[in-house]
Amino acid sequence: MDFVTLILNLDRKIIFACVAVLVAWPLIWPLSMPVGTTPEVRSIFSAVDALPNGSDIMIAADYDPSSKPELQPFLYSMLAHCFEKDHKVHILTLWPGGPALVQQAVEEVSKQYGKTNGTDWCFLGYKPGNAAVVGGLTNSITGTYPTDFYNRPTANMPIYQRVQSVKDCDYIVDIAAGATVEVWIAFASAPENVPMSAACTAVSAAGYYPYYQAGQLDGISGGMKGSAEYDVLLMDKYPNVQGGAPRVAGNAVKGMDAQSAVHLFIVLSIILANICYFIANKRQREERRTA
Amino acid sequence: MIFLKRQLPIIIAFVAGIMMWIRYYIPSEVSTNLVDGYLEWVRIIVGFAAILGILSLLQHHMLKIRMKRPGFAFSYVTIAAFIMMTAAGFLPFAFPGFAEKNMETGSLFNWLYEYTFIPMQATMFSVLAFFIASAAFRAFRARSMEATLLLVAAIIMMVGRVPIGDLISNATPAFMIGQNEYHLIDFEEWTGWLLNVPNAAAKRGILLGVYLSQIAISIRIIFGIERTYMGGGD
Amino acid sequence: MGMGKRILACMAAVLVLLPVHAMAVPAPADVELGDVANDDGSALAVSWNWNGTPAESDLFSFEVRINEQLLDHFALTERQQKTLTDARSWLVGQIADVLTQRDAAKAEMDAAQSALDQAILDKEPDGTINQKRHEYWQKYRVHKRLDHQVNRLHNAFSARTYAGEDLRLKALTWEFLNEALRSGKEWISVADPAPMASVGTRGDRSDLFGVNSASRADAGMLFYTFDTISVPNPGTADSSDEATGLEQFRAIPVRLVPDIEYQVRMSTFGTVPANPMFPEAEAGGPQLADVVQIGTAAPIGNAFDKSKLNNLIFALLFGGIILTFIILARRNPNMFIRRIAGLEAVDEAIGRATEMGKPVMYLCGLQSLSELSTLAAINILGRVAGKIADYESDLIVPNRDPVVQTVAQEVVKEGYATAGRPDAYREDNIFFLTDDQFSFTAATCGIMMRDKPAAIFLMGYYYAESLLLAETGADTGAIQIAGTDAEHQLPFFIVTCDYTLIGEELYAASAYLSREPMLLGSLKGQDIAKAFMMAIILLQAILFIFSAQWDVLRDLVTPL
Repeated sequence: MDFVTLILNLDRKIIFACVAVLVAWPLIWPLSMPVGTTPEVRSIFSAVDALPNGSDIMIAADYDPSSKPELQPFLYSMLAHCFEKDHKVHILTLWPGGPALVQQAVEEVSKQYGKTNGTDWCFLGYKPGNAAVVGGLTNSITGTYPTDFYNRPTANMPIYQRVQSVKDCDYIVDIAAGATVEVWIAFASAPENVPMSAACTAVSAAGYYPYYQAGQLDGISGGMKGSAEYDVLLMDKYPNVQGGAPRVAGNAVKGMDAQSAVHLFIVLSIILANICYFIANKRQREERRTA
Repeated sequence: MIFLKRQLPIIIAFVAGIMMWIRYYIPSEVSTNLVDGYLEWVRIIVGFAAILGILSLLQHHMLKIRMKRPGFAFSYVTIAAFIMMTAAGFLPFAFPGFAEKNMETGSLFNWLYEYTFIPMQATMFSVLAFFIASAAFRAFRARSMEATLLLVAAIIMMVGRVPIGDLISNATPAFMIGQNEYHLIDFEEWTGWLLNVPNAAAKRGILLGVYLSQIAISIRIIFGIERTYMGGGD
Repeated sequence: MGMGKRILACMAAVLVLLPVHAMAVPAPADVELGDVANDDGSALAVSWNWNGTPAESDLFSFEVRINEQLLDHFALTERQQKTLTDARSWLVGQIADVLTQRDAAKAEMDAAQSALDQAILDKEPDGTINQKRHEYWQKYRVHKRLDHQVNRLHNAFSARTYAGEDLRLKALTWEFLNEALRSGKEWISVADPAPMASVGTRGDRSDLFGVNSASRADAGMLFYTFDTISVPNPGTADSSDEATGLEQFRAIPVRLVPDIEYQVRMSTFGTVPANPMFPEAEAGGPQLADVVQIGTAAPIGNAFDKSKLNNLIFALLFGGIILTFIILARRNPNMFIRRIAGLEAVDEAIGRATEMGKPVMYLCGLQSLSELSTLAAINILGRVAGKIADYESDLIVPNRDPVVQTVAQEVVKEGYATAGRPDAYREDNIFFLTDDQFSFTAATCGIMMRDKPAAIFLMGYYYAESLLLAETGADTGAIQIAGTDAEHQLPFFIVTCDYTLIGEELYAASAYLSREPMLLGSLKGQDIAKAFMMAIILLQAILFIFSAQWDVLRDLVTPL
């Protein structure tokens, strides 16, 4: 079997092995490639940054462990950014797999910034029924979530003495693995006139561009690349977010090396496969001619 | 009998459909309560349907074991896992080595969820990366003009969404048009254009078609023209 | 000498502060108050103009005056009052012991926890740590049990005092309102002061409100709507009431009551800037700058949401077009419909399965039956099942939703019966797997690998699992026909499947396969509606290029 036929009939397990090596390698020995930023992510950053200190931010972390590598770094950076600006953070999840991830992130970051639960942030927990929950939040946050994730009554919390519903919040960020972005736009952001941004998986990012163009989303962060961009923007403006241990930002940047390597591998293998495809086609044509 | 099986469901679909449509335009408490009530009913029915699902699951796997169909050993695993999770969630005491009973933090159920279920789920999702690589390798061939366009767009996207794209762009010669600096090859700019122009346009087109179709299928169902979903055939 | 300096500094400070104070906060002008015209009578709207640009520190708030009507609304009847008193004395009797026990248990639990934490920090031997952990768990359980008891009693109290509305909350509101009146505070703020810069200009949506309904010229007018007033607790609000353990309120949010007249006023605040010459002076706190009396209005319920008028027009128009074509189709059944390659291939796929003696697999997507894409998938399943029965192949349908599974069974059974092969139907082949996304995917891929179906149909809505399913299917060598309206999963299906129904083709499939004139008619109607939409989009684009604007067109597509 010659090289061309070999490539065209390559066992997919060989491709799997190459991908595995290329993902693992840069994670163990980082290449530290510089990450450039896109306008879509820059506009999320500047929107959150431009709010006066102490604004109220509603963060919806609607994802579960399967999309943790793509979206969890974004949650970390967003929380770090909010606390850096002394924003009040209202965080919740519409996905049953989400609470453990949010708890981990919000406890870790708030501890580093010395922020108090109930005063500077509140983790409302999980509730089923996407649109019903978001609709409820536009009426009353404490009505929809009488207790927070830690089973404490929300009505008495200092954070909810000023804020009653989503419309009292100054910004909404939906970190979404599924189709919850539409729900937040349709039931909270648009009717209540609260600006919002979305961070979603790379697969679904392309789908939200119409909303971005229509101005219904200030910005879109797609997948790990978007999270890495946000990390870079954050670390540029607030160098100390990186200082503490464990550091709260910069995880996605590490992942970008691996992603670069795999993308490059796929691109090169597609080109190789196409060259072989053309050679094989040419041979076939010649064979037909001689026949 | 034919009334219960044919006419009654169509009447229910018609009345409920028209009612839910009209209430959309009426901003009163009654209409909000109507939706809330409807959603509650859905939740109740789905709750009971879960029992049907469990029965179907067990029946299917029991039959597989009894008939010794290929892979019947996995059915034992399924049934064992089902019994274990159910017991962990329902039994009113804390299992040895665990602080809590039922589904609370620190219980066996919670431990199983966090340390077996979540990692397995993450594994399934990560398989996606491998499958994308092999599917791209196999399927992206420049067979026709359209396929070539798709191929080129895919390559630009893949390179443009990672830092290596910036490195390549910055290495190419730059020139000035007016106040702006442009690179000969600029993956970031190109991916932005692909996402914002052709992608957004195509998505809008598809969505408009989908929404119109949904209106049409809703009308067909409300007026009883489409009845296949009731198992009624034509 | 020192004294003189001080006096000078004070005078300078006053001089610096005063003008800043008086000038910084712009005054609202053209203020109007009215009822929101598209709600159920629970909100009021205010519109106004700022004269000047507000600084970031400038704040505003609205206040509502307590009046007789409002007090009457919250007054309890004698019977309600009795219910409340009875329930309260019942609760006090029941709960006193439990509360003391719970507090004691909490203290013990906290002590046990710090002992455990300390043991871990001190790196004591595992045996000791386990012993301490065990002790903590015990205390934790005791506390939790008592906490549950308290909650149960509170719930019982709530049940006794709920009569269409929460009587305790109502009584408290009445009490707070009266207390506020007694202490001379007759104005209650709607919400905490908010920055002026944060107010949205509802601009071209002004006719949404009862106010300024006349013209669009007021595009720059600012709007603020509110539907609650926050009635503050005049006393001290500790976290809970000692006798009952019930929570106390710092403030009670009260929804506006329809048809009650509310008198409203607006206050503006400016921030005192820090003054280097007079560092002791209090800086940064908002200071009242101005109070503007606005007027009186009552929120009134509306029977129709005017902002959805364009939606209604479109719905009636499209519905009318589609129904007309359905009726026309009954008269003239020979309608042309373009070829859809994916559906032409259905027979080929099923035929191949028969030749190979292998089953056909059909998936209805991952959503519930209340989603239209699932219904469309079920409709196609009905048509396909009939053909499969004709060809005498096996059909496997794994499901993620038990409701979908039940309906799928019914549909397939009917399909087999219609094809005259009810004996070939096997209920066991249409089964429920699990409702978890990736568990479902893993199980389905497993079935594909083991049973190696000759044809796989992937219809309905899919998420990230689309490629996992389709790529596994491609690996088994099956003919794959996909159909989805999940537009961001389409690329995956297109590269891995033999045929893909894109978006609306999924919805057209049932009509296409059945060739029933009435269903085909609705497709025609849909096309006309689509042409209409295209015309609007094209017209708007042309107008945009020539920088023109037609209000009528804009009103059609944005909420009025």
